[in-house]
Amino acid sequence: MPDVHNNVCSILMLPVLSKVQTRACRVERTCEDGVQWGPPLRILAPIFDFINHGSSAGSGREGSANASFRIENERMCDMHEARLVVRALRDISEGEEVLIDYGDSARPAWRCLTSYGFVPDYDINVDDDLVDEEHVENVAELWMNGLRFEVDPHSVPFDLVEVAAAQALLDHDYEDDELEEAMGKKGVIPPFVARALAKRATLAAFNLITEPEMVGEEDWDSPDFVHASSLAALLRWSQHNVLLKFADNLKRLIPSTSSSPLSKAE
Amino acid sequence: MCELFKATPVDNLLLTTSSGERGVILRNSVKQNEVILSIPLESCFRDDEPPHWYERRYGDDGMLNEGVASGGMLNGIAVEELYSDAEGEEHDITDYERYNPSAWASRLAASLLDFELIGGREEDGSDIDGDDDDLKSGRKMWQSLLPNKDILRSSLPVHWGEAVLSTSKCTALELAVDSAYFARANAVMNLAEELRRGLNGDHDWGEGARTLEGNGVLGIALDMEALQRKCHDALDIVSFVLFVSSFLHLQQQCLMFIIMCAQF
Repeated sequence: MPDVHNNVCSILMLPVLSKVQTRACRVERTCEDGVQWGPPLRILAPIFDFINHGSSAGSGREGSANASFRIENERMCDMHEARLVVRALRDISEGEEVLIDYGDSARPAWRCLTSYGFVPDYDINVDDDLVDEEHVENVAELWMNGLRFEVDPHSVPFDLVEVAAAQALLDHDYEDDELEEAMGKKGVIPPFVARALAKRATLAAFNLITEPEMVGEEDWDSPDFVHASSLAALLRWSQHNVLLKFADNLKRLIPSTSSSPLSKAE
Repeated sequence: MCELFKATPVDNLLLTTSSGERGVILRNSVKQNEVILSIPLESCFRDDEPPHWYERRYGDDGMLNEGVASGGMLNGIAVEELYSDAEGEEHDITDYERYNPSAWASRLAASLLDFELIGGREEDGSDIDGDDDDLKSGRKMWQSLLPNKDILRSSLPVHWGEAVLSTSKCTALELAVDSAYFARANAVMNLAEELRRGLNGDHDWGEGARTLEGNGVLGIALDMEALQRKCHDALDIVSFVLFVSSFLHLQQQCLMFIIMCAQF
């Protein structure tokens, strides 16, 4: 785009769109009996938009959401008396920060960065039973054999297990009975696959904290570049931690003394 | 600000930077389920109430509806009927256009732009008073507290250069930025087109717009042909890249399948 258009878009449209993107919220239109009567409404609510994001995992934990919001006083097709109301999810003390869950646009970390311009500090050590399968916060991407997968510390995509198993089979020449024994029960990750995945995730995690290669031309001394770079580094650090936790959890699946011939081979 | 926006309670929220980041803290404790903030929707910018000059002439894909532009028929429905502001139709649940991210973002941005350009004046140019005065004062105060545009720009990856984006080492982020870029390009085009039409009408735009117009900035911004041509060129390139990457991805999957078949 010619510079002049870039400048004009910067002056007029883009800042306005950025404000909308980072500050608007979506609310459902529902009447008293809970029936949705219209499409979602997007609003920019002053004061409300100053409230920061908190994790939805584990109410009461530090950094978790302590408040929720919804539209109240609305009637079917009538929003004249309607108000956006924030209520406490638990008792909140004087001086404590109010936090609301920004929703799925704030997870995982890269989506939050794209949507709102910050990298959330999700707790990597959150207990298994507090993780909502539909709202997983700690997700990292893992490349294996040229394919991209998304992993979180508490689950392994089935496709990834298949790819890791296929690779292990390529690397070693096994007999059929050995393979059958090693693959074990359906739904259980065999030790040799867990080991291969843990190794791959650990390597990927350390790759994320190595100095990134710079491409293209930028004004490297500008405050904008420094600020953006620090956010990119924070995202790498967040992904690094997720991958290390993923690898750590996989290692727990590997028995210290395995009778599997494949485990020995690995 | 709470008083100006008729929000309640008026004295329990404090905007602070004590933790290094700006946030809202409570001055007094609250019990579970108690109200922390209640603000009337009338005080908010809403995507179902775009400004008068924004005529909602864009479809689900964010692109201009030619039928609407010419005032003709769309799928057999009179355009005036489809976009009528008559009572009740505003809340039509089948109005899927509202679900389009580019469309709702454009409508909200239009409202914000309208406020920034018109400032503290009514659309008919008269002075304002009473409740509207409070609301506009509140909005001005609110705007003054928003992050400055340079910080906002450098925070959002959609504005980052290739060098910074690549240092994230995150393919998902790069893909998300690509998607956001073109959604944003649509939104910019929609806004610019509506603004151009509005400026050509008899709408009084106030001091903000006149300053921009005097500088020649607005005219350049609204050179739609150049803007659209550039967007289409960029879209052509992306289509090609997506085709090549899809082909390579397919090749990889076929290879894995063949290897696994051979092994088993």
